[in-house]
Amino acid sequence: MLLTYDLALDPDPPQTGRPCLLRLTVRATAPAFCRKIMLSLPTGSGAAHFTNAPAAIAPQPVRGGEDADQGGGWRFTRADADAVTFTALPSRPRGWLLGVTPLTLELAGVTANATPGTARLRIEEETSSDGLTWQTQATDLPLPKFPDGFLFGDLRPEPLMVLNGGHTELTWRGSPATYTLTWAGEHSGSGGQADVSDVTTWTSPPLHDTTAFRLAARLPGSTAERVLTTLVTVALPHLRTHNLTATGKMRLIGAGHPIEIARELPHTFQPDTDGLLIGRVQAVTGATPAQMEVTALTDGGAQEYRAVFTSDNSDSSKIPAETPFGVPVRRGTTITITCRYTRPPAGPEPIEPFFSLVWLPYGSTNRIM
Amino acid sequence: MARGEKVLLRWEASRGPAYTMHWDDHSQSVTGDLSWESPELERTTGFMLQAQLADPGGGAPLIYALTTAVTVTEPNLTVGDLQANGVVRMQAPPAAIAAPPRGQPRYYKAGTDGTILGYLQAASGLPTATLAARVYGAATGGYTMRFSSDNSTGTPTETPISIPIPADTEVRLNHAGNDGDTLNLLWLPRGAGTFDEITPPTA
Repeated sequence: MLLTYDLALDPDPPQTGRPCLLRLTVRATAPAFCRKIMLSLPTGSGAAHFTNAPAAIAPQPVRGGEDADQGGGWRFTRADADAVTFTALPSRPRGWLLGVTPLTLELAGVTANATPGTARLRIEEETSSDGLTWQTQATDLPLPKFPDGFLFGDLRPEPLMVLNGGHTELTWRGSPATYTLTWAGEHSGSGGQADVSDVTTWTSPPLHDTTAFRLAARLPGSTAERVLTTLVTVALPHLRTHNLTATGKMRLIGAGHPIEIARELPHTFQPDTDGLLIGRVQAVTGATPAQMEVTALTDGGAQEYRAVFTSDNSDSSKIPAETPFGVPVRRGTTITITCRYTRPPAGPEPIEPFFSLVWLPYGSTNRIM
Repeated sequence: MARGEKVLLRWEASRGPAYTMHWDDHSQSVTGDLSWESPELERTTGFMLQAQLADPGGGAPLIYALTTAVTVTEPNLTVGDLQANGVVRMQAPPAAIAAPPRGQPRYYKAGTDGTILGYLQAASGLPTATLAARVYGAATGGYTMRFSSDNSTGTPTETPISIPIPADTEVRLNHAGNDGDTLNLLWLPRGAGTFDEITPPTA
């Protein structure tokens, strides 16, 4: 389908035995040519039929599409002898439809039959993306029928945006029916389902990323279903992606801090986030070399890597130099840092080699749970 | 829509109630309007149009709301936990860094996270050359890395340089050594952002 169809109903949802207005807003997601749109309503008295009074249906004048490019005005009429099919045709051979200038097709006086249920409005379009190759494609949209006086609407969240881990409260109005709420996070996929038939207000579990809510009203013993949806955005969401591409500024590195190491003992830590370990080692001039060894072990104790950084200032004719290094560190691994050097001879002020470590975590250390 | 664009919302409404548009944690009166243009959107955003009518009987006001959402491509995101299970693309092509002249420290500012990568090779037969990098960050703390190359004897070799740089830090680079030293530095940004020289802060 090259066109999208947005169906509005008045009343919403339609009620059995009462006239209803169907308003279909037609847009193109990408500009497209159209030369025909056909709507079909299933007629009869059953649950899957919408109306048994097709003669009373009145197609309304089309709004939009007046420009010559857009078809020079559209006509929306009952198609030949068939009482349940309506056709929209441009005055010119074809219309050029865009997303911002929709066509609005309306059917007034569509009286829903007496049987609650869900019928389907069939839509057929003859469209072309280049004006040369034409295709006929079809889709259908649900047309529920609820008993006379049935109300369902006004689904709204409060607040509309929550901080990571916050709750929102949904309220709605609805006549007695079976109400099912389903929700799912935009990226995490975390979600759930709840029967909310006995309430008209519901507090969400803690939300960790932008979440879509879908509230379905169903009538027991019929196929009637009307669905309302809403969205609650989450500030500072947890994000779990497949591919990730950054095209602008990245701020991954959080607040760094020095790690105090006792040079006599191996120092071990388990980072709770990925990051970088930056180290410096400088041996005493004229003494034996000094080393820092970094080992990363997995949960199971397997070695991920081992790196030894050596500073050698044994040649006292040279300017002493330090050896700087940076190694990436993975969350969940066990990092062990060992300093190796020869103890200087005891004296009033023994000169020790220089060791330093800075932990640069990816992400802030003020983590949100 | 793309990040930075505005969306135009339209609706149909009866006269009488007060209408308020809510988005993120903002709201604005739209009474009397039948359309509203959003600010420039940075990320997927939910909107709620709320109609409120005072109850003439003095009870609670009558409220009715409609909601919709607009998705934004290439959003600006600030996240809590972050986990990528597929391809991660955040390294951008490298850019040259105007290395500091020998003996004259220079200050730089990082527009995004990245790495300084390069090498230092001291002139053959002369004393040690060093490159000292001091990273200053209000949020990230500071650290120093000092790279040395000594080719006073033996076959001259390069000392590789790799310095991780957080976004928005200021970096002081100082090259001490001799004529004939070779210092070559590249900026490897994550995402998009420059590593530009700035005027040194006055002491």
